[in-house]
Amino acid sequence: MHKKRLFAAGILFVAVLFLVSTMSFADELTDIQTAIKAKGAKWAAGDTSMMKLSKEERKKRLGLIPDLAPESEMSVALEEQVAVVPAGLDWRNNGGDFVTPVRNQGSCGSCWAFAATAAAESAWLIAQNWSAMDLNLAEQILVSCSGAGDCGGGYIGSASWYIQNTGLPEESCFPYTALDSNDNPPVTCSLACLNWPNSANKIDGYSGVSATVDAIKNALNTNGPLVTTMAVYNDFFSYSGGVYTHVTGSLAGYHAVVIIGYDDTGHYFIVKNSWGSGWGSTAGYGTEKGYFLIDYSQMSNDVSFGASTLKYSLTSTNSTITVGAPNGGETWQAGTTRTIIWNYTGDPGSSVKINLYKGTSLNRTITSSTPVGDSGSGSYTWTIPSDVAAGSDYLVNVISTTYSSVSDMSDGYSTIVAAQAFGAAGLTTNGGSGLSGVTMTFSRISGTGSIPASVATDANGSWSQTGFQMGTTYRVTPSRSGYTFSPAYIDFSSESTGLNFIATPIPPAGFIVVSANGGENWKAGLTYSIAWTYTGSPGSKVKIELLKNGVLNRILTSNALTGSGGTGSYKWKISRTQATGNDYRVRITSTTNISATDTSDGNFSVSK
Amino acid sequence: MNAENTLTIAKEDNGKIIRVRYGDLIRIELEAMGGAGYGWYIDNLNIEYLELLSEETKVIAKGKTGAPVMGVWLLKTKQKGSVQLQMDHYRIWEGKDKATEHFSVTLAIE
Repeated sequence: MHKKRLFAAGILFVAVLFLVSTMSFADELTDIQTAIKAKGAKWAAGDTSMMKLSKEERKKRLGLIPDLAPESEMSVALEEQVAVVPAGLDWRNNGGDFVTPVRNQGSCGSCWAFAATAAAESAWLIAQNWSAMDLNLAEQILVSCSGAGDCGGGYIGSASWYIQNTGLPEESCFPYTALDSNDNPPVTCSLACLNWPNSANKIDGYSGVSATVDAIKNALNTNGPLVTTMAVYNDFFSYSGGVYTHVTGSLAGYHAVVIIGYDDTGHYFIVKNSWGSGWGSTAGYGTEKGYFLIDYSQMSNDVSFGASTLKYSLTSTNSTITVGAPNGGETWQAGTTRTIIWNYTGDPGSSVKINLYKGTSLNRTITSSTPVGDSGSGSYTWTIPSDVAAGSDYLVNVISTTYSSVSDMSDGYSTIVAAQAFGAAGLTTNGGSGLSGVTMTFSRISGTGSIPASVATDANGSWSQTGFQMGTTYRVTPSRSGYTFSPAYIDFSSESTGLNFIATPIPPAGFIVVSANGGENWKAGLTYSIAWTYTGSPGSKVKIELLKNGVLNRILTSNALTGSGGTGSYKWKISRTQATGNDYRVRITSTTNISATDTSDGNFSVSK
Repeated sequence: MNAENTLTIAKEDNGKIIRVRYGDLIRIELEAMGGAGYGWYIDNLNIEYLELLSEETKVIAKGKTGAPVMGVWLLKTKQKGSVQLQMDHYRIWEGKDKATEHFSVTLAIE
């Protein structure tokens, strides 16, 4: 083993002036095909039927000499391996399919994120021996959170470092947008799901691979799919099958892809791209396009294929985890509480993460961390949420949070049936008689069960509703204008009757003046308390008016507090200039309900 | 070629009417996401007014994989009059209908 600088700095400026041929795109396609034939290339350029320049607009092109691959940010230890490897390998068909579906990066320059993520997905599938599982990790995390790059390009080394040290959650946590924090609106890391690092998928390590065919083949056999870089030329856009070699066209940019295999007989690598499944070919396996084959020779020409290549590792330990339940064949009901059981050997770390899969897709993380257990066994009590869809293809996966490669999946499918429904009923009374027209509203206190619609009490004051789901705690709250209810609400979580409420009419809002209520003799220049009682809900503020001989003399205040507990008061300092008289009264009026008002029963005096 | 007679047009000129002299050279600079499979393509160049002399590609972001490149087109005005130059940014296999950006200038050739 030796170390060397793997990535060299790219030249800032690569410019090639080329004359423009006099042809349409169809002619250009013909030109590419002619170049393919002239150079003995073994690939096909597809007819996209799209026009580029009209026939008269194009003149001939000159060549283009690209410089070095662009990855330059770090040195990586190289492992020169000498091993006998098979003549061919395709990780889509290597004792299973360990390559996730082709993704589409859109118009964002995030190939570096897609390549790193795809290689990490494959590393996981291989480590877990999960064939044909769509482990879909979130590229947007790398674009928005890692600092390794953005839609303007990035670094596969930095992205790999981030996956090793922080990891990636599932796609559902932060769905890909083809936008970054520089866009408007910005797609920032804060938009990712909460606490995602707790459930992130990491790799154990990564390192560089020498830019030789043998080194790449060795790494493919030893580690799995590899992240690599290449220069893209315009003829590559038209690739539709065969073994690609650059034959014509100008540099279009630098790109990151994933090498998933090779074939010595055909002298090519098998590569997964991130331009969607509408581009490229199946590369000899399955029906999904989005792949390409590239000749070994393209490592040493202007394509610089493989110039910067990284291999990922998931270090295995001697520890194991084995799922005990559910391990296939069980039938569990949503809304009920069940125990997930596992056994372990060695030291898989102090905690595990538990995921629920439906078919090949992650359904949810049951828990991101729970203790691994004691003496070789562990368990987790799981109340199955009511919103888990019924299905007969569920698997449980228990993973060490310390060693990503230490995990196990249920051996077979288990069934989850829909949550059991139940009903609730009760009675609302007023003075011992049933009260009709009371709206019973339901809400969810805990759990995820659906919430039935509100119902109203009938002529007897009775109500009932169905459709509540086991595993969820509900609350029923009565309401009717003019009444208060005792209790204010009742919580329930299973079949319930006797959810009864007593209604009490709310008295109408009103005031009674207590002082001055007639007969008082108040002195000008002194302070007296105007007091009142109130009923109902007259609002929070009152207006107090002074009447003299039945006529408004002055407004003492327009916003005195109503009071509390049914009583209120206001300190009135009588002005020294207040006219004397024995025909005064005060009037209290709600500021929000003018019908709530009262006036002194009799006159009081103001004297000097 | 006389550099003084070369007018450079860039993304910020999109939608503008630009006056040029007969015989002038026009240099168009647009960033393309080639690493994502995208390129800028001229939509039906009017060759009565304009002649495409060359295309050029610049790498503008050192070391970054997937970074955009700068496409440079050099055209020569051939005839007085008004002509529109339309370009679209798309993947050639997906077609112009799925273009992510459009660029258009009207050239008033005097």
